[in-house]
Amino acid sequence: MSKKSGAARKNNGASSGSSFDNLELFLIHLPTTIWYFIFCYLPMFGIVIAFKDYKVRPGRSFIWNLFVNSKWAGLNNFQGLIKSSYFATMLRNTIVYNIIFIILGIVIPVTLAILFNELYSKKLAKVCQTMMFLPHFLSWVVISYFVYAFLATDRGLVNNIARSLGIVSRDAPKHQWYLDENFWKYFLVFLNQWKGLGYGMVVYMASIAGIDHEMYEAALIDGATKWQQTKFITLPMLRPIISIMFIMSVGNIFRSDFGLFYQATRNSGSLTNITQTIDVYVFKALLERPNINFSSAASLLQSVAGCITIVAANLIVKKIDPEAGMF
Amino acid sequence: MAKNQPETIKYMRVKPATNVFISLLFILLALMCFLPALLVLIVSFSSEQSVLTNGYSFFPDEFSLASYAYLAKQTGYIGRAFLNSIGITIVGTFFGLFTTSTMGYALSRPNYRLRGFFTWYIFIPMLFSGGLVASYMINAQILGLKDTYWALILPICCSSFYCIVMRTFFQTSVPDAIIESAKIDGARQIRIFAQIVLPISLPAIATIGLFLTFAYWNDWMMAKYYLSSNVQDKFPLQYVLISLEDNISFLTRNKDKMGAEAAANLPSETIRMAMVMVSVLPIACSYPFFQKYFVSGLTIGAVKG
Amino acid sequence: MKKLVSLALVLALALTMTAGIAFADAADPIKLTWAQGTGSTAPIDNAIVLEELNKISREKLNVECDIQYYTGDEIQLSIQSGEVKDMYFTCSWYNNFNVNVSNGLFANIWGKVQEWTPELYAIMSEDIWNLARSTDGGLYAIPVAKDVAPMNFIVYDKEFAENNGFDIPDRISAWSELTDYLVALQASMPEGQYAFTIGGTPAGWDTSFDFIDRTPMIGVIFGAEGEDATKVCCEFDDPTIIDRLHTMREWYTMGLINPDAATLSESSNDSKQHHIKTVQAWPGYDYSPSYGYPCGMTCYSGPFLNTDGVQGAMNAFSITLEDDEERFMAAMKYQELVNTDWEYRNILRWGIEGVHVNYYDFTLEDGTTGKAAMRTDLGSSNYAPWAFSQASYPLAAVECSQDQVDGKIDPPVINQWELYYDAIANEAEISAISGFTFDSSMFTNEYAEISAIKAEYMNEIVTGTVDPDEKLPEMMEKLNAAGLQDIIAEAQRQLDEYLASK
Repeated sequence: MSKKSGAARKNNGASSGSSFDNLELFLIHLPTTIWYFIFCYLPMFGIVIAFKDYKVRPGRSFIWNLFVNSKWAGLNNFQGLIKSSYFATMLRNTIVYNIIFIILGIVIPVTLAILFNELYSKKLAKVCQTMMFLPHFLSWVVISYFVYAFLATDRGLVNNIARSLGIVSRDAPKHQWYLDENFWKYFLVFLNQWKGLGYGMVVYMASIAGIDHEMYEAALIDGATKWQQTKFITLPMLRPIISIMFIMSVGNIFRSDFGLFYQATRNSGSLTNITQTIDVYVFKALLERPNINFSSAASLLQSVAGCITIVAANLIVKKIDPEAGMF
Repeated sequence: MAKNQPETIKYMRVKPATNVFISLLFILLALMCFLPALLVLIVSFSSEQSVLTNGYSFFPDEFSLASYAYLAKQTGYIGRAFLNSIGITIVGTFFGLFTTSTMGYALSRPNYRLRGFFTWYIFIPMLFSGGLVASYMINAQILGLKDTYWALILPICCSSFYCIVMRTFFQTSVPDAIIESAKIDGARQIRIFAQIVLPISLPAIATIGLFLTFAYWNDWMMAKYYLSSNVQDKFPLQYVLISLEDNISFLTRNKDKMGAEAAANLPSETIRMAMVMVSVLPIACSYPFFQKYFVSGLTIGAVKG
Repeated sequence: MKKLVSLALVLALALTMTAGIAFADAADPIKLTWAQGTGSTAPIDNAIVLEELNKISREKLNVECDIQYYTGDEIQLSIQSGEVKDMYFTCSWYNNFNVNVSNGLFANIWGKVQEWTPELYAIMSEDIWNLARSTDGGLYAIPVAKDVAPMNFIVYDKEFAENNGFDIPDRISAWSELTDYLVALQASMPEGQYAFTIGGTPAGWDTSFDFIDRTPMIGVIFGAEGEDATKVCCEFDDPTIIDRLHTMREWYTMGLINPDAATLSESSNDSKQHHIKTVQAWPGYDYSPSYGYPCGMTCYSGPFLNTDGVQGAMNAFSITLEDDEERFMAAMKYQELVNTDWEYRNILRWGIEGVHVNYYDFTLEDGTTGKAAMRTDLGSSNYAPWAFSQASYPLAAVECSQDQVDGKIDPPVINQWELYYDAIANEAEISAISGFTFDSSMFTNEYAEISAIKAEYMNEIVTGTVDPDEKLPEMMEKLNAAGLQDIIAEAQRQLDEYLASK
């Protein structure tokens, strides 16, 4: 422990104390830094595959194969994605759904997290919240079975209940839900929210839990209503985490949840127009003939596009609130 | 302060009518989320024939324990996988919390000079990745992780997303005053971190710990690529279950090319659902343990000026 | 005397050295690796079965083989990251054979298989070996001796047919011949069950087309006359195929097919529903034990002998073996062992006797005797690898059921493989383009797009969910825009070159 006098510390806090500080902080995160180097940065040379026509000579190492044996392909590997007749559809589906998911993915969990804390019965709150977490545990494959039980044409619960309640006449042919694009447009959004609800709430609940109660007490003494407390205390305190979550989701705007678009819809051909996202297209394109050049190029494209959008989003957020950005 | 608390708490409540409304909303949402899990449970206890004849139903013709009996017969195999998963999850979560919180803390200190650089340093891998083959080459051939438990733990223990969330938590929930006063008292950063900041960041630790626990419990891709058939005793639970599922879909996708062999030994619908229950229940039961840390009002150690 | 002593010493030294070398050989078996295919993971008891297998191979060949199991994407990862196995299972839909040959991954064994392993060469006819060869004349893998000339059948409920006056012949030429049977069957079924229950495209719906490459769906029409016999086209130019699509649509609209067929990936396992099934099999194979009710079969396609069928399951050798003749020979002799040694073959197929499987002797009416195998419960769950990917089927014991052991139903056809090979020798139609393999390496981008287009349309068209007259032209337009005609033109060019050189 340094025996510097308190006065000396206060004056030189910025310089000498802090360089020692800097070293200590560096040492604190050093293990993680090494982890990133080994597991993230070392393999990153694999990005080169996107620009090469990867060929294997058996018995040689991957690095030799990649740098010596494979020829440069320039931008050829990207053609597969960009020149595809589905490219416009892919982009539209991926981006539009993600915008909806990002907005809903913040508004709904934040609202629920705030409401959650207002329930009188903490027990009810905890039980409900635990149950709301259950969809997260089920894989999309299992969820697709469940959805099928409801939406199957002949034995599905929805068709049969509609019949027995008289909503649909008995003579009309049973509706084929899996061929219905207009229904699935909205149902996909519902499924996405339903699955992510409990999980999304947790981050915001934890943030609210960290807010100092004294602030609420002080506000109460000043006569603030519940709504005013929320508006002037809770939301501003949540702003940093909300903006970070927003920025990071924007970074994934070109990626999509494969399980939702492919497995939950059971890969129904008629729904292709609304389920064809970039990830789904890449999966289908490689189904019959694996192609490492193609998948590498597609992944790089998504990364670069995501990088651009995230930096842009960060700049915009910082204009509104300089403290809340990521960098 | 303590004496006034019950009264202030009463004044901090919403109106009773609002409470009813919110309660109903939560109950409705909870039911919507609970129903499918319930269906899975019921199907796992249905007889195979009733599922084949009528499909999934909340009211099957017949109940039966046959699917669980089948799984019980595999205790050697599934039981071992279960234990593996528990061990991997616990160790992995500890590693994950360690790496994530250390990085998050260091990056949260505003006067840390290398802060900007290292934020970029962890940000880039969030978007860019070298691909499966490159990672496989590093992990299997250079690091020699193939066929070991470490292959299931190390490559996925840290995530930039969690680091940044942690960083934000440390920035917002830990007042600078505390840290400054500790520094004036001559405390080192590491002591500040371990003895002061961590104990009051339990909601953050619990949140990230929760996410890590689920990620490890559900992960099967590491096992698929790094554990060969020589080390079947190291397989985690999800991998065993997913591969049973994969076997079916692979057989059926290629059934016309496989001749008379194909459909013989497929696990039935009810066994599939029983497998889901087996993998979900333990982790679902662990959830309340985490929950108590991020429900407001129950956190340890209020912050005083 | 001195000379004698020194001579004796030299001799003794020479003897010790040769003995040393011989002992060294005997002490160190050559270790090989074999990458087999699986849908999930290796069989649970793989290790103990390998122990038994290695005892045999060590004794007979001084070779040990580590048989490892990989799924399709795992083996891709292994190969791309530079790992090498000595032998690989390969075919058109697993570890794609033609692509690997184009990329130079496999060793050419034409010539060597006759010279080094004549017993292996003898298990299949010269015609079949020739069909397995590639365009450049080389043989890049050993075909698995199985039903190399696919025959496709429709399995139906024999009792129902007899009781309702349906006399279904052994062969039909069009699926529409069964429409009346299906209508009657559907009428007898309760609501929610269908006469033709399928999950996704029915198995074997397009096997009567002579495929060059299944991904772009190109090939030639089997049995076409004159110039058309070697004209490369898309499978939808084949009238038999179009006819079948119309039949499926008709059946769908008549309510004979389950309405959600296009979204399912597997059909119902329910043995109480006696719906018809499409299968690939051979005469003599009886589905009654597997399905649990008396089954009849009618053949609608085959036997066709073509390169695509013969290359349906093969085992290849890594090209790295060409650098090491001793290992190469050991690996080939090992494959010979697997394909000619009864004990080895059956342990590989069924597992350890008494633990995973039991054998029973059967005698047929005509006096033929032989063994049949029945798995124990442990065998079914712990050791049930793919058999079609391993080696010679005729060498492995056929399967029997408990009822057959107890004598309740007819014994299994022990000599079914003899019957099968006799049948194809006489009846099989040989492809006009045998021995031709297509090098598609310049079309990787087009193939990706075509895969995606197929994923959108195929399930719905083939299951009859949508009207083929409407959707098929739509799909063809997209395929042509993606470059299908270019692929066909290139395939025609390569084919003409190949035929001219023969």
